[in-house]
Amino acid sequence: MKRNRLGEFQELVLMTVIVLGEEAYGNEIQRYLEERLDERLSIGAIQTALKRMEEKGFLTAEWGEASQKRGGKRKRIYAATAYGHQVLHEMKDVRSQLWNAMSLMGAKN
Amino acid sequence: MLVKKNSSTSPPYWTLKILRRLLDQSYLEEIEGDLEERFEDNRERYGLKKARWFYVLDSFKLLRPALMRKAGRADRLNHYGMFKHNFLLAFRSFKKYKSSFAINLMGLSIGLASVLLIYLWVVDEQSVDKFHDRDDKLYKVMLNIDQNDGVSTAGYTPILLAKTLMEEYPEVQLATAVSNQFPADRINGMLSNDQQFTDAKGLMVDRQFFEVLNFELLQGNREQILSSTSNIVISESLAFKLFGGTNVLGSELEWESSERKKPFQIAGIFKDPSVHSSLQFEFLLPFDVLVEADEQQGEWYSCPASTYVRLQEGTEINAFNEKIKDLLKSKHQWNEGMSIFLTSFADLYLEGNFENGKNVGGRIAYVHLFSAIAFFILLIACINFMNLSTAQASRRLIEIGVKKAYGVNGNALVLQYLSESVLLALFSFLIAVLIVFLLLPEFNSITDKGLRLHFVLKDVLYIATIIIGTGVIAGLYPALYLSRFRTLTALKGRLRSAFGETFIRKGLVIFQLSLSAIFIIGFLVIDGQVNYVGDKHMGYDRDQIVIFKRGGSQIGSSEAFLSTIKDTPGVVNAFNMYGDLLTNINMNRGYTWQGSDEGSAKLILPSPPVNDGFVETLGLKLVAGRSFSGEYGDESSKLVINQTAAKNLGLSDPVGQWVKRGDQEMQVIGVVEDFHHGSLHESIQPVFFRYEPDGRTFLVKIQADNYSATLRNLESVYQQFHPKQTFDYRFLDEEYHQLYQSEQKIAVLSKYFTGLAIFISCLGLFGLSNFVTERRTKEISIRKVLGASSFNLIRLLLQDFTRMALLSSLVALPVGYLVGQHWLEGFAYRIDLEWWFFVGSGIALLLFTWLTVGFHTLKASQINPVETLKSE
Repeated sequence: MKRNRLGEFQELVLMTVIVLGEEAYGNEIQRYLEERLDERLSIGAIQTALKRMEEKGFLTAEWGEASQKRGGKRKRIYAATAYGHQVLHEMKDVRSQLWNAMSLMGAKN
Repeated sequence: MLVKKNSSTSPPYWTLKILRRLLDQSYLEEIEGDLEERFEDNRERYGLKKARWFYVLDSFKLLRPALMRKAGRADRLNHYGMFKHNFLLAFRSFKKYKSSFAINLMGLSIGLASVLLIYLWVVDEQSVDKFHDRDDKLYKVMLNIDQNDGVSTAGYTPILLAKTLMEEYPEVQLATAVSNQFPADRINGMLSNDQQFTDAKGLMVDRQFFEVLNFELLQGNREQILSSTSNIVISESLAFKLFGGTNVLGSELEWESSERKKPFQIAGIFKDPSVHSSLQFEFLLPFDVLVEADEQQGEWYSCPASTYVRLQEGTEINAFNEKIKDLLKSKHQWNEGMSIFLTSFADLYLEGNFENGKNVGGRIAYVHLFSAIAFFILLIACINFMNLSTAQASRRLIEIGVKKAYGVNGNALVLQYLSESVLLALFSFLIAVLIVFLLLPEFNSITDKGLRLHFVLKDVLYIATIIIGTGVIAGLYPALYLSRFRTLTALKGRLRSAFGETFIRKGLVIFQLSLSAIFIIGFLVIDGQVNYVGDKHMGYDRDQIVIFKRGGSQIGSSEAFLSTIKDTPGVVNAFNMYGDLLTNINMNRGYTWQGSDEGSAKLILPSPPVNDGFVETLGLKLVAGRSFSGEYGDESSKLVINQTAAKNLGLSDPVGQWVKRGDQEMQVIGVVEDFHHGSLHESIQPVFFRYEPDGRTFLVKIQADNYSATLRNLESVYQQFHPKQTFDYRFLDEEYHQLYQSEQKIAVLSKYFTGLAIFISCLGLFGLSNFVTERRTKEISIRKVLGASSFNLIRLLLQDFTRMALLSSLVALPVGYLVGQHWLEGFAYRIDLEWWFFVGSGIALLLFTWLTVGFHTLKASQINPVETLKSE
């Protein structure tokens, strides 16, 4: 946990990758997140997060199919690794512990 | 590959070129695809225009470190290896060709040292008066006065102006009046408390002073320090000098000038003004002290103050100047012909000269002049490098040939030679820093500055630019020249220099020598003018004249003092006057005479109040009438004028005529021959000498021999009349030379820089002649075998260089003429450009050339043909 902390945005991207499954390539992830967050994201931000997480081993990637719309360029489909899943769960645990602690404080007061 | 689409609906693909260059190659396909897809989506959603905009925006947002090509790995290794190789070769070539390395190193380090010194000086000049906050809104009010021969401009205005500007013009945020004039003299005077006394420079200011100008008040309340006429504010160092500390608020201090004595109470202490301030002062008094002493000074027709103004944000300066132009005129009838305008205070130090109401620069001219000098000296050194490297190209032919044969391309070779010259420039710079470090104290004393070798980041950037620029300028031509050789000819080791190359080399030498010749001409002109000014008879006698001011505040007759001085042994003659003959002559306006037109009353004329004896003491020539004399009783309604004034009166016989100033009528009793009372920058003006027996400044003519005894006598007389004062005297001729301080500095500096320019050129010639004679060794030997005498050989070898030197003198002639003429135009009285300046510089150049080239030539003419010819 200490060594490979997930940034907040990276965490969102990682979860989106898992949700999208086979469809998880750059633009799809971006569209999905833009809808949820209700703000415009740049390709640079998404790609930076993807590349960082790929380097850290949270993600793997494979080339997908090309299309006319993409100017003949192939997609790159991302998938979360087991390690990625594990880190997400750890994050969730930490969060829920903190939430619990907060609600306890709320009960006391 | 881009898929061709209809270009009218395609995204702006130019951004891809940037991305492909900068982003990691392995990411490109994915990212390009994403971009393209997103563009299509956006086009459907927002339309083409917006989609294109998003495309560009997204492209630039992709330029993130995480996505960019990584430094390191293969890329870096490659460059590193190349640089290592280049530097190694550079070091080897430095080691192998020691003499050309030494010549280049010496030339470039002297050139860079000149640049560095002048850089420090220029930066210092440019920082004067730049420390005030928001100085783009800080202005000084200037005064234009219509004169007969045009408009003259001064920085003096009425005291009331600051207040009026502030109250009546909403554009003015703040304004302050500052003055160093006390009725007829400067405000400087002696400050004393019970134990200590010291002379100090002061200013009179109003309450806004510390708000308009950024001088720092250390103690005291800004609102109140100048509220009472008995308050004084002193500098930190003055407080230490007088009291030994700064805990002195409320202490008593007595101020005593030549005209007044008054006790003050210390109400504040300010930090000493920075050396980069053109306003220098040690104490401040409230303006009311001046008005109290002389009510006229507070009127609209007197101009004793400098007015500084802060304008509101967004004020259009030209429009505002138009608005206030006639302010003075509307306030008093005597101000007819006067107009005011604001000018940026920060620019005034460098651009403070006005001609006919127009700004004509000022010290900025010297900044430009010296920057140009530095540039040209460095250029001369760079040319040495170019010439030596190209001339010695044959030495590196094999190296180039082998490299080319292995497939090294031209660009890599260019880069190699450039890195060699940049490395040389870097070494030179290190030596230059050492030279500057050693010379800086001397340079400071010539230029009167406190420059320090102290770099900030901004300087480092500039200096890096200078070093790399020098390396590139010096190295580019040789690099291109060397890398252009054909592989085959280079490998054969044969170099046939084409006509064009020798032509360029000779052209460069001629350019270099011409610059040196122009430097020599410039030096001769400046030196000639400075000597001319120093020796010129100004129409009065300035030798052996001692000037001193009567100190203290004992207002009273100077008669007894003057007559005692006249009786002192060794004194030839003496008189006293108000103001100062050279630097602070009294000026008045409002003179009218019979037949004078309306304009004459507006003229500001020098009208020094003097005692009798001034004609005899200064050795002036009386051409008509008589001078003032005690024999005729009260002479206060009499005038002595100079010839120019007589001419202006339009009378052939002015003696006995009446001149009026206001209601006062004065009769002309004598005419003296014209003389220059100021510097030779100005032409002679009409002068009216008024009679005044109680002037504070004494001018005493003493005998040349035994003058130190006479000075001692004078001192004891002075002490007898002014027991509390120190006898502080100067000589008139010294004071006169002070007027030309900046010219003298220029003369000294131009001497040094001319020397440097010649020295560096000679270095280059030395190296070049070494090479030329070396290459012609066989030719010389054969000639010798065939019976040529040493003289013949020397003539043969010198021929080329002589021609180049002569041609350079010719090239230098018109340029030198124009430059010299331009500089001399600043003097109303100047030397003519004599023919011998140009011939002299030509001869000097030729001599330097021969001396430099002569060494190798002599050596070559003495060679033994057997030794040199046996090798083949």
